[in-house]
Amino acid sequence: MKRLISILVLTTLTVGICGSISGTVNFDGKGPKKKKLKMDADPVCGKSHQTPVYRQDFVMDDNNNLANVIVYLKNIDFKGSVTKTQVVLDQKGCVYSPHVMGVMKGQEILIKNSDATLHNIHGLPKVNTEFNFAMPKVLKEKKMTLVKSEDAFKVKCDVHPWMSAYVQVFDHPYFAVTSNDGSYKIDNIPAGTYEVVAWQEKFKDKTVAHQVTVADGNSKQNFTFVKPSKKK
Amino acid sequence: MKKIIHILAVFTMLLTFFLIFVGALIKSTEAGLSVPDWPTTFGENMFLFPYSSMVGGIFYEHSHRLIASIVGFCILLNTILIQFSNFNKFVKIISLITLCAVITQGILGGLTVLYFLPAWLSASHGTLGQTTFCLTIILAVITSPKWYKNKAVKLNSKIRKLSFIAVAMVWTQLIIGAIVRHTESALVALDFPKINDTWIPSFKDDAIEKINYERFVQSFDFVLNLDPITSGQLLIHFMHRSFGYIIFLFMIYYCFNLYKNKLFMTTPIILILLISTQIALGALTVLSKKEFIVTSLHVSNGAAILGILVYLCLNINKSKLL
Repeated sequence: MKRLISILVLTTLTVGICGSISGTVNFDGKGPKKKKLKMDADPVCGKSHQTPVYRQDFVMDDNNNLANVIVYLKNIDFKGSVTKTQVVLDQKGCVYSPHVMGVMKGQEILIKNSDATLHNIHGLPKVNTEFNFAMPKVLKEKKMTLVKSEDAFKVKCDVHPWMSAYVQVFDHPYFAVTSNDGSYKIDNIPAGTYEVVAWQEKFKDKTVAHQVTVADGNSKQNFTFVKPSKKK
Repeated sequence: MKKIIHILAVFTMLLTFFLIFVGALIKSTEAGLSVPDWPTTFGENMFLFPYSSMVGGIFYEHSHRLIASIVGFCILLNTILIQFSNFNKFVKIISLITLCAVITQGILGGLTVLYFLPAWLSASHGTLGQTTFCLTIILAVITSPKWYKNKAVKLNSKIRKLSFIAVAMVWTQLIIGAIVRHTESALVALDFPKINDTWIPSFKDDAIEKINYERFVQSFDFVLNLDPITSGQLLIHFMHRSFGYIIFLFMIYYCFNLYKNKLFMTTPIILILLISTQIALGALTVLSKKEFIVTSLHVSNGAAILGILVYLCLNINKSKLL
């Protein structure tokens, strides 16, 4: 009985001290011009879109909110296990979906080829082992894992040079990628003060970071990427 | 028999030159790893891979493999024919060296794919490719009936030395060029003739930091992704440009000496024209931000210059070879 009570107390305490961080990521300045992707190198790719497809390295809505930004906690000691949820990287219409994603080290990644054409998946990690494998039309799915945590690295298709995606590998589950309205939410964070970092493809290692204190409930933290001026 | 060997040697030489151009297209379009396996193509026998699947980067990479196979076969066939012909020992040795070079080149090509294009391996592949091209030129020349019919002119040692120096200089420039290409150093500066607005760049950390910040700012409005550069990349780029000017001046001196000795009246003019074109193509490579046709022409024009110099060197030293 005593044991049961102590487990209940401990569980209540543990659950009680978990919070979340949410907010939006936006851009201060005039964004670069939208560039259409030219897919004429492969007729299958061109035919798979009825409307123009734009480059995804800088996706901003009318309110200057940025999509595809990875927001994550830095230097957090996570003792839990790797999530069993599979993450999917799909090749659809000769673009990667999602364009930016985070995974935990050891988490299973399902790479799909939803196109009626062939691709190669060429990952350029610096810490994990570089990989490049074929995905012919007949090979619709392939699973893989990345075993070491590392900063965002590029994944590309050398058959279709416009295709690129970014993957960041974490040793904890406290990360999120902003949606089209620039919003993000990271849940189940143990109470404490953390450095929270936002990474955007064009800014690369010029990340934006804030100290955030997490307590019971939700903590708000917005991020702003500022357009670099010509004079430093 | 000798006529067939010569025709085959000339055909191989021309096809090798075309192969260099197609090889240059692969790097210029970054299609080197579009076919992830080797010697198979997407798991299939490379000779049976359907043309309809040769899309995007595969078109360049797979075409390169097919043409390279034909070149390899031609060299193998000619080597066998030469060994059974009554050509002299020199021709037989050169044909065997060419065969070894093309086999090594094929293996290097495969390894570049399997090891994800490490710069040193890719640069070696590029350099050996052009060296093999030079060997095919030598074979085409020394299997020609004209080579034996026309008398060798005895030339002074100065011209002979100059002919060797010219080949060595362009070959060295070719290696530097291959390093520039495969270490992504071609666009460390986006201006020409100056380099990041200076004539002689500084390699100090603060100068590199300043360049990298400017590149970061420029990346916002460019479609092109300008990665940060290192001092090593800047140095190799600077060396390639500077050595190009030195070669240009040397070639004027070399051609002037050929004229003075009333030798090869047309070839030096072609040579000077090609070198001028080469500098223009180098400038355009930078200014067009590596437009793929311009970049590929820069590589193949460089091969043509080296080929002409090898041809000149061979003819100038003919009396020593016969």
